[in-house]
Amino acid sequence: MRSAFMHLCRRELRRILGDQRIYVLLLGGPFFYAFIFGGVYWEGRTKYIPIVIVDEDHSALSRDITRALQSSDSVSVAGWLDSREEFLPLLRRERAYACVIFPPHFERDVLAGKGPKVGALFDGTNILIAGTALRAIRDVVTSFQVGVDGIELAMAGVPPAENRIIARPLQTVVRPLFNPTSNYSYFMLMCLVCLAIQSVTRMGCGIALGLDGSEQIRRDTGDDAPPVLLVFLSKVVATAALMIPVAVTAMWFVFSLFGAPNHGSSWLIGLALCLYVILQVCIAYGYYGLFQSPTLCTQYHIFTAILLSLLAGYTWPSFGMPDGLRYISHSIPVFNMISIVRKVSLMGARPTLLAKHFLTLLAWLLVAAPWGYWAVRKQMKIESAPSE
Amino acid sequence: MRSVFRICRREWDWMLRDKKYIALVMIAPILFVLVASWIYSHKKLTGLPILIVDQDHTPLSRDLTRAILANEAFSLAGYANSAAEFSDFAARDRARVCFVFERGLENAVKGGKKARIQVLVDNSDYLVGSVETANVSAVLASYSIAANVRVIEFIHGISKSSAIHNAMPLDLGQRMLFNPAFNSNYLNFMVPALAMVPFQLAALLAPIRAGSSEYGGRRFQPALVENLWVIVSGKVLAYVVILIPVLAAVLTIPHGFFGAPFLANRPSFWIALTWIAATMATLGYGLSAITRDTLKATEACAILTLPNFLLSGATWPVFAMSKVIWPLAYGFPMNSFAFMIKKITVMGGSLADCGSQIRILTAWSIVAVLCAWHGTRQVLNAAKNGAASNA
Repeated sequence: MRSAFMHLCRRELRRILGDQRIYVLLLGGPFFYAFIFGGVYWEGRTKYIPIVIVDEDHSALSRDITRALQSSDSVSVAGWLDSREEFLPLLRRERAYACVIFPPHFERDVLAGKGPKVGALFDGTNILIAGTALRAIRDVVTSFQVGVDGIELAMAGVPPAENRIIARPLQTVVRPLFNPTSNYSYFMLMCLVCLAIQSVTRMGCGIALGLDGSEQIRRDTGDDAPPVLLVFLSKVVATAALMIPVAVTAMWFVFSLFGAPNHGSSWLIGLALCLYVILQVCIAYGYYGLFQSPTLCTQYHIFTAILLSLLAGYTWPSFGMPDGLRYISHSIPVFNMISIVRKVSLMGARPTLLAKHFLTLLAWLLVAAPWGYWAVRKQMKIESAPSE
Repeated sequence: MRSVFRICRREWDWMLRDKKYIALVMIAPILFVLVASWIYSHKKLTGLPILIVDQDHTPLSRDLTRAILANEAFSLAGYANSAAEFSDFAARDRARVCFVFERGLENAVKGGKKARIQVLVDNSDYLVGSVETANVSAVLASYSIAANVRVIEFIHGISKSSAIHNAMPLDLGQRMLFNPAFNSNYLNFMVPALAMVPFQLAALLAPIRAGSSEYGGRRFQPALVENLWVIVSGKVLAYVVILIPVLAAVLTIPHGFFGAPFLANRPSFWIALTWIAATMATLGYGLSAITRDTLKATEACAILTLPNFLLSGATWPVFAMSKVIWPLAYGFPMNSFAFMIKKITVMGGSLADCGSQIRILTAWSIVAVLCAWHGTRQVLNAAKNGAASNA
């Protein structure tokens, strides 16, 4: 029994490593995506967003604020315009994403205590760009505001030592925990690697099962009817033995190569990855059982990959989704895997805080294993692999 | 022209035999957009669970708590005795933000001293963290201004109108173009970009068997027609005709059902839609004919399309990516397609505003036509060799 199982495992490994349609996807996919995603988020945050200035005041104050904007690394001044109407064509040509406007008599109104406005136009079609530019411009304008507060209060007879405190009596100190530098790549990369592992495992394993059949097994093993359970287990074990090191290495790249911090136990992440990969192999077989065609199955996975990434809740949080989708989001494996990696690496979470995520993954395994077994049994009834 | 239609009809006859395939290519893109729109249907993040640590126990701290909870952005997850408890709350997903009112807050405000409110934000998910920070600032800034006015009036007896000027002399008047609700409406920004994913997939995957199947049971009949361009035109036309209504539905569903903006210049929209659909369908057919294997062609499409959404710059801007990635980001088709469609449907622009995108799309069209031409030549050669060996 044991030798038959080992024989089937070796056969499965040979099949995977002998077919470029499978091994390129399974073994190359996670690294390919890890490097692409790493490159995308290499800078960590959005910098040097091109903005333009419309200075209708030409005063010392407007030039001063412009200089302050130029020294910010979040925005870069791409040029000066004569009027705000010129901004729209530049925006449509992606030359500038925000426009700062100093109205006429800006400095005079400030000194007269009339409270003039610094105008700012933003491209609202990309919240990341507009949000970063807005924050940078607001930071610069606010720092000037405090300075002006001081001057005005001094003019109103308030003793200089008290100026700054009075100008801002309620101070808000926002402390971003777990990711103090607000580095975008820290949490995005690990999420994307989890998604890449899911996608390539599901596609690769679906194809691997689709290209197998009872006749091939008979030919390869010389055994007329090996037990289906043994075939299923050998497929899962052999594929997981290949995929787990690949998945662990891809995740290791996130921490070692791309610099994401890990404040928790690497063993916990490793354990979760093992469970996740085995689960994905079983689910991949299950899906194949539904489609019965490697191509259709792969196309289905391509379509669902981005949808699952949205449902994983790392871009749009699950509590912001409608009720029905929120439950789906919490129950899918990738949400729980991402939660484990995020909480362990960024929050340094202990196992007790991760219990519900591990339990959900285990529950999935209990469902996915019989589902995968059903698909393998169905496939074993087919004499030879279908031609696509 | 009649030969083109004959090829076209032959393709439809064959295509409609496989219902699963039709369902995937025709229905999946529409389902994709419906689900993506549904995910963002709340349009903004509300009810962020917050933890309150009130060590001051004064009317001011209670007032602040009420003001924070009156904002729909926040919902109360509970009270705690110290800020140290927040980490556990965050790790259990029970709270995302913690407000700490330290002892002596009210006294400090009344005495004109430095008074601080500490706000701890779970930034392990940066996107949510930035929304939390924006909401916190919005709520507390208005309170801060009110406190400014009160303190200036209270200590120095300056008139209220003058106190307001002193509290806020420099104002930033911001205006968000194309997405006026901005932070409160993610649907306007995310869904039109996401709609490009099924758009591209459907256009690429629909003809993915059109070339490879000619090597299998469906041998191409050289007698039918031997002109390469007629075959390519007939094949692509068959798919484009079917794809255009599906793709138009994909792009207009977020607008029709969920209220996303659609400011399209109609001629520009239909020209862009048809051009992109034809380019992707030609590329899909070409890949299929060259690889001679539907599975390999599908895998090639997977490699092309899976990282494409990130590389498109729809969320993370291309200029913020590593420079090594720039050629991929600008070169991959989705970047140009997504920006072209965004400029036309969201920004109200026309093809005249899409100069760089048109250049890249033209380059992709040439690549696609060359692929299709080369693939068709292979198909014809294989068919001739097959006929020769049969003879």
